[in-house]
Amino acid sequence: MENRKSLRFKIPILVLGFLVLGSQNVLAYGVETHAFLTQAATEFYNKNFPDKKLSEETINYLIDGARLEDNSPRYMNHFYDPVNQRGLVDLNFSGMAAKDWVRDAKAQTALLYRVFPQTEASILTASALDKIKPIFHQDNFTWESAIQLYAEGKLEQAMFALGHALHLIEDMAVPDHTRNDAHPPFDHGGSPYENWSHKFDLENPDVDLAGRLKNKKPISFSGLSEYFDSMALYSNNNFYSRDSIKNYELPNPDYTKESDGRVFVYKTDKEFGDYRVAISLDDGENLWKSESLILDDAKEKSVLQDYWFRLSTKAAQHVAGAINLFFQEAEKAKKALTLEKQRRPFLGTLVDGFNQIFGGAESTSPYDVLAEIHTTTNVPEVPVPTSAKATVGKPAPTAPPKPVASVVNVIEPVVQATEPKIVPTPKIIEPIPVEIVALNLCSFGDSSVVKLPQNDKKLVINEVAWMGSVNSTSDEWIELKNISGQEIDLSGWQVLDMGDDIKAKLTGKLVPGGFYLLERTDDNSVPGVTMDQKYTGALSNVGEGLRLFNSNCDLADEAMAAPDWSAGDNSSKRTMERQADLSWRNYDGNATNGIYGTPKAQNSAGTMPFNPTGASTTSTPPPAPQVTSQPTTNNEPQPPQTQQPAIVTAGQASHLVISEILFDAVGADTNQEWIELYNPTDQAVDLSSWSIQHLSSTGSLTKKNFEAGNSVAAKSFFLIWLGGNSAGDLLWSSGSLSNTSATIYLVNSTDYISTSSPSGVDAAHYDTSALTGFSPGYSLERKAWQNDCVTASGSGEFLGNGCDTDGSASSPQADWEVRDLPAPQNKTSLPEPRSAPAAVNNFNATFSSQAMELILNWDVLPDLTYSLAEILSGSSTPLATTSVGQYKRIIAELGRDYSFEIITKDKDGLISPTTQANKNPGGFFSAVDFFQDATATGSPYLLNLTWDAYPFILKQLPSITSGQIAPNNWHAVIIYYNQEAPVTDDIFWLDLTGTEVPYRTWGLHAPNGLKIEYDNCRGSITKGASLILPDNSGACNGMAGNHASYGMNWANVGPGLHSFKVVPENFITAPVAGTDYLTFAYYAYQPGYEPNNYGLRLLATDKTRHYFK
Amino acid sequence: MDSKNSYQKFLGIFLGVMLVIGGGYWLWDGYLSSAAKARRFVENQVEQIEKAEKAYIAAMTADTYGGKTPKETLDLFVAALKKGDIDLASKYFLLDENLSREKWVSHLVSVKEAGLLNKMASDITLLAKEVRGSDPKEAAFEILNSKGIVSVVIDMRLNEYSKLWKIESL
Repeated sequence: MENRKSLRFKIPILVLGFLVLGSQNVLAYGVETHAFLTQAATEFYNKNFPDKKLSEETINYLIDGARLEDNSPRYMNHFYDPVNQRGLVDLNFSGMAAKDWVRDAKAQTALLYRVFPQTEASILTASALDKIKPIFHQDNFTWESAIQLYAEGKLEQAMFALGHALHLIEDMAVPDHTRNDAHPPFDHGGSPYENWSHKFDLENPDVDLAGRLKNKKPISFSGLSEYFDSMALYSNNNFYSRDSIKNYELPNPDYTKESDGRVFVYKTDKEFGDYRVAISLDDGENLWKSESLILDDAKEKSVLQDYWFRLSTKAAQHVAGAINLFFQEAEKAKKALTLEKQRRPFLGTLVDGFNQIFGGAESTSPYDVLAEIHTTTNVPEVPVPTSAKATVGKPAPTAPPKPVASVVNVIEPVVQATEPKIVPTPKIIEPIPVEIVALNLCSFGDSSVVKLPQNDKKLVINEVAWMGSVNSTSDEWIELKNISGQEIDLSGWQVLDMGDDIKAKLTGKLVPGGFYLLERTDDNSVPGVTMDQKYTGALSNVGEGLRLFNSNCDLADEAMAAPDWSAGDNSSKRTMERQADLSWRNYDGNATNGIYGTPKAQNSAGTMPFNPTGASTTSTPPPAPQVTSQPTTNNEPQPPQTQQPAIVTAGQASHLVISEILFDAVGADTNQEWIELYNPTDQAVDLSSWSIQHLSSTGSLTKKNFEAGNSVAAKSFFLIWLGGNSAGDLLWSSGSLSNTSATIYLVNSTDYISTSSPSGVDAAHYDTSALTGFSPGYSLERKAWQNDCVTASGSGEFLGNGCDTDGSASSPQADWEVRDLPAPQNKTSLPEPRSAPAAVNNFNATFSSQAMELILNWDVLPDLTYSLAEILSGSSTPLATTSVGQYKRIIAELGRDYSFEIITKDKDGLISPTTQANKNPGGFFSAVDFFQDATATGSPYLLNLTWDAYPFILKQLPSITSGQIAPNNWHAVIIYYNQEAPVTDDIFWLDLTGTEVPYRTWGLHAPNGLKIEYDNCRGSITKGASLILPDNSGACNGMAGNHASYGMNWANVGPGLHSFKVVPENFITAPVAGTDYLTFAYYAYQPGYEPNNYGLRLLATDKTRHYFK
Repeated sequence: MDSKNSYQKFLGIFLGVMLVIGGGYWLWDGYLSSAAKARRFVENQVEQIEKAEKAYIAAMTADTYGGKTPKETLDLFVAALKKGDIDLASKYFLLDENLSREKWVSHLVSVKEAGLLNKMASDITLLAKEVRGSDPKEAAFEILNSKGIVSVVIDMRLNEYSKLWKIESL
């Protein structure tokens, strides 16, 4: 009671304090930024789980819940450092790890949270608020409470509580929150990233986020904790916060690059593209400065923009996945609750009735029941599919449903998992009827999909009217053709497009040579031809793709627009037709019923595509087909037995070519423009008497002669830089390229070319008015050659630039593509086309108990960089990119498997196959026996621990204040009974006089700790759940009166077997069974806390369970 | 008398039992129960924030070192550097969240020991160019290196409590 009295005085003061704090400077994304992120994540969820869409009203509750999680002082618990497995730990501030807070009902319902006024206002209407009134001021907004509310049918309340949990996942996408950077609310500017991201809210959303999510899927894990670990590791390992730049080993920047008068430090990023991780000031000048890396300044915020680009996207992916996980768990809980109610005996129902009338005792709360369900170790780790749906309510199948396609993750039935312990009458238990049904959709963006080789193709995309027809741009259609020579059963085949707008599941059978016509919306897209199937969704004219999957979800065929379609003409509405060699051409016949194409009929001979996406073609007519032979009747793909000889296209460059040009930089062009040459031949080319010449659209001619010694090796590159840059193999210091239109000539002499009839070894003409999708900063790149002209980006990145179909200086566009991320290559670049580096050799992991590190080693080859990742729950989390052959990973868990993978990358980015290494570091005891000695008096329970050397825990921690290792040191083993050893805060020694309230005695802190007895240094018996181990004889001191006295007697600590008596009155109130077990946590002494405050810091928990024998 | 003694004895025992029960409850409720531990945890959190915030506001309000514009503060800082007065120069930096300027004192000492204090003052005077962004409480001075690349960023921030500009980082 005294305690409550004191609170009466404290609370008003504290409340005043918090009102001063206000809400604008919260320790997280701004409240309204959370609202925006939550809304974006729910939209993303709805897009990916269309069968379980959230209504707008439901989303509002989620958003409001996410906003109100920032009520003071809840935000102290919004931090989680995944490297050190802790919440906020600072000189002034501390809090629970968000990962624990999200599930800790006791902490969330502490009195002060309930008495504080709401510091954030709700955005719900009064009527909406009424629906969540019972819980609005209750502070148990844990994940489990949300599940319970859902199970009870209180959807609005469940969503409001779930919003709080989602907020915490979003906070894991803030580096300050995962790098132990307190950035307190009154310290304006404490987090540049949060300050910058405040601009996004529901009123001013980041409109590009939906685009970034377009080709993404929700991230799926089987447990909530994994969402925290995954998101926190991503933000911790790959980004800085302002005050933690030097505090963590990662991120390791990969390279630097100048831009806008600054040197930016970059990290490579295969997923989103390389990004700026900091601004470097480390140039060896102005040695009086303090900072060498900064995130921003008053004007330059591009680093923060790059952070947001990735972190907001990842946050939405994680949150959407977590919402899906919630509904899976909540549905199970709902079923379990229904079943429990049905089986509840009459007396229980009567008690419930009394409780409802008079206020219930907590023991009847169904929370307990659910907690049992969710924490049971029997629940299997269920992989959550990215393209599967769960339907609950039908009888359970007798066997797991067979996946319809091999790449579709199908949730296995969880009948056993949901079989609860809650019903003591097994004879009436029926398996909870749960059926999980796969949606059966393949995944367009699945990078692991099996791609059928060209000669295995049976059904192909044969013609695409992506541009619509003369009648309507919406009259789009897709034609497929059976080229297998055998009838094909189309059941299970699918056509998907890049944005998942089109999802067509095929039906029926198709005869050899037969066509299958899909029309958009209705059968009127192709007048006069009956469709085989309709579909919904539109085909974009740029940045689109169609993929055809067989019934195993193998990629059977594809047609991509990257950014443009390979053929077809938007202005004349000519379709994109397939040829016998599977290349694409424009339809070249006349229109029938407004259709320039051949729906369900043989394709035309076709013309070479030119400017396919629809830029003007009136000024320059499309070039004639450049083929050496051409079938007279049927060019399109044929069944093998009837296939015509493949067309040989004269499209492979046989001479030195201009391969990439950057002619218009962002901002000033000075020192930014360049021209790249590529030698596709097998011979080196001497350039010393050659020149490069620039002919402007007004006829102005400039040139640069190559210099003595200039040459291009076979299959290699040469870079001409205009202005100055050390990357250039030749500097054209006075040169400048037109920003709009010009022709570049590569000439095998130093004479000026004729402006009236110019010619050269190669020429490249550009005109921005005809370049779709071009922006300053983009380059023009010649396509690669691989049996045909193919893109030189992405999968064609290392194929060289050998496409040369045109030969005309005035209209070379068909050979070129716009590149948004220019990639200049010079003489030092590796030859192309080339293959990837070999897999890394001798990749292995060893454990150092001295440093508590896993040490990864591998063989190193010159000129390669190595990217390491840790495999967590099946997903790869990047650890480091390095050129040395070792990486050390500090670990905090023993007795479990660690898996790592490594790839190597050459200096141009070509990547090797993945190599994997696994390591289980084991524990510190060579034997553990927990048993009952029936032969001894009183049949005591005993714990035998064997260690082979002493001290067996070697890592020592320096003093917090002095940084020095203390002369006397201790370690402690804390023993847990029937629970995983928890990750706790630091443990302090309790002054048993009871005056030092916040401090706790070592070992007594452990809930469910197994207390043992041992002889201590003062000659008496220590009873406790911690085994205190002095590291040397000086640390065993009977006179000290603290841990030095209560530690294990130095005379007894030597290597060998040690038998400890388990305190009988301890937690073992019933006979111990074979299913009971012990776990351990290992701590090290750390001096330097306040005087007389003896602290232990967690080194590691041990995941091994030692069962009672 | 017997009944009075008996009554007093009963009362004494009764009060003793009540005291033991009450004390036990007080001990349990206040210190030993898990709810009490959680409560203390939260109390500590709240007190930490409150104490830190009050101290921060008090220190920031009392901070009189700086100018009314970023340039004024920078000029004062340079003047202190030219005098070799590190103690004064460090006072133009913003207090960190722990109310400390130790980082900047230590840095200026190392600059002085390297014999670069005058060069620092001279470089800032001659080369620092002010840049502003969209946040009116934030400014910066930039110095370019010999290649025209930003080499030094002196971040400035307005101390909202004393309305004076401070150097945030260098």
